[in-house]
Amino acid sequence: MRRTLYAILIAAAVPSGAFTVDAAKSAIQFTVIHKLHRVEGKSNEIEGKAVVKDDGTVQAMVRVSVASFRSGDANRDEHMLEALEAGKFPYVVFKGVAQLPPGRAVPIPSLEMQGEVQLHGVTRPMRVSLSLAPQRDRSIRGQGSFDISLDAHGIQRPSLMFVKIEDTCHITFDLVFRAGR
Amino acid sequence: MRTRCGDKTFLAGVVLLFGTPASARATVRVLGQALRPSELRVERACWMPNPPLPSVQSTGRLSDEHDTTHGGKEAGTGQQNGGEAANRGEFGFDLLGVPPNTQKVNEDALRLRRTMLTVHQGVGLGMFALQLSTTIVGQLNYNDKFGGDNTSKYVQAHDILAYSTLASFAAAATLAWFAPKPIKRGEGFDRVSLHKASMLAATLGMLAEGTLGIWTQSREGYLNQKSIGTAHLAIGYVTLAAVTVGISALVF
Repeated sequence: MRRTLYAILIAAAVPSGAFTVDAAKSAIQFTVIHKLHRVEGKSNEIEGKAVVKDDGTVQAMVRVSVASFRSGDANRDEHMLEALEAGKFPYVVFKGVAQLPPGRAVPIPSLEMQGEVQLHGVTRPMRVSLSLAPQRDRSIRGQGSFDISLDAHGIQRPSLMFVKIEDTCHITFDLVFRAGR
Repeated sequence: MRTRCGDKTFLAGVVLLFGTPASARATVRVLGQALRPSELRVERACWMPNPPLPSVQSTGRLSDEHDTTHGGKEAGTGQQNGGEAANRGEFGFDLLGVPPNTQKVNEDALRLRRTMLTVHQGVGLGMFALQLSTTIVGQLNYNDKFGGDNTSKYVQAHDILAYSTLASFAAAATLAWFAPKPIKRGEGFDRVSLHKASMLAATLGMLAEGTLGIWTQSREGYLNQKSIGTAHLAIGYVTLAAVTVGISALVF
């Protein structure tokens, strides 16, 4: 509530230009489910850029090294790298395009972004709903989540105790964008 | 304004090939269209070579971003791929350029490590079952020896189980110890660290158990045999607990 009020108070318009992800303040997290437990992995080694055009179109691209995710179990992380064939496909890449509403005022509680995710060398279409909120330091925070199918990306699902994890991998992101390259 | 192959692309070509902005404007005006060069963005002109807008995969090789799959993998259902074909051009941009050099992953070593650790997992679970049996039979043997009729009916079973446990423990440890480590990373204290610490404790426990077990047998007829046997039994439980913690650290 307090955050929402604050966001409204500092509401601003998104200017045209390039925005770069502040990796130190950003995070991408995945969650996969195994019958015995739920695994969460996180990465802060994020490269990302967004370009806001004069007509309000936003192009965004985010790239994360799959080796940078940490789940609190180095052995499991290595298993994940093997499943993702990290030697051949070391990055997960998201590209998206969205249209800012007229006036481009932020906060925007829900912005639909059409995009594609490239994971394990397979590119799949993706629709992401994200929120944009202005921050005190004039950066813009984008948060959202989406699900990806491991099978659809041709990933041989890892198993523990000879039981595979579920097909759905839930991705949540919290990205802070700063104006400039 | 976006231009494609055709008249407008031709205009863009004129601008790009011959134009200072002033001459370009003049050229455009002559052709009766008030276009500024800044409005002309050539997506792909007909004289440009294919493929358009290459992107760089992190392995360093160039790849066609418009392919849905890389490395010959199937992307999934054709319906979804075909339906998105029109959209792919929309995502042909590359805002990040060439990725920085990241740690290379030796997949062969990773695969060998996975195989060895999978076998380690199987051997480890088998060892746990043997250890549990050894402890149960050991307790029965202790009861028979020091609280019962001293029939020695559990001695052979306990010996076989104990040596099998030791052998499988050594095999599991060897597999884990010699598994290649293709990725160097500092994780801090994580689940694997707890597993390793528990197994280190279990190794010390197994060594102590073996020593105390043999010593107990050699003290037949001596007064301190029971106390040595009790220590052997207690260490057996502690070792079982250490292995349980070590396995649980990875499983749960």
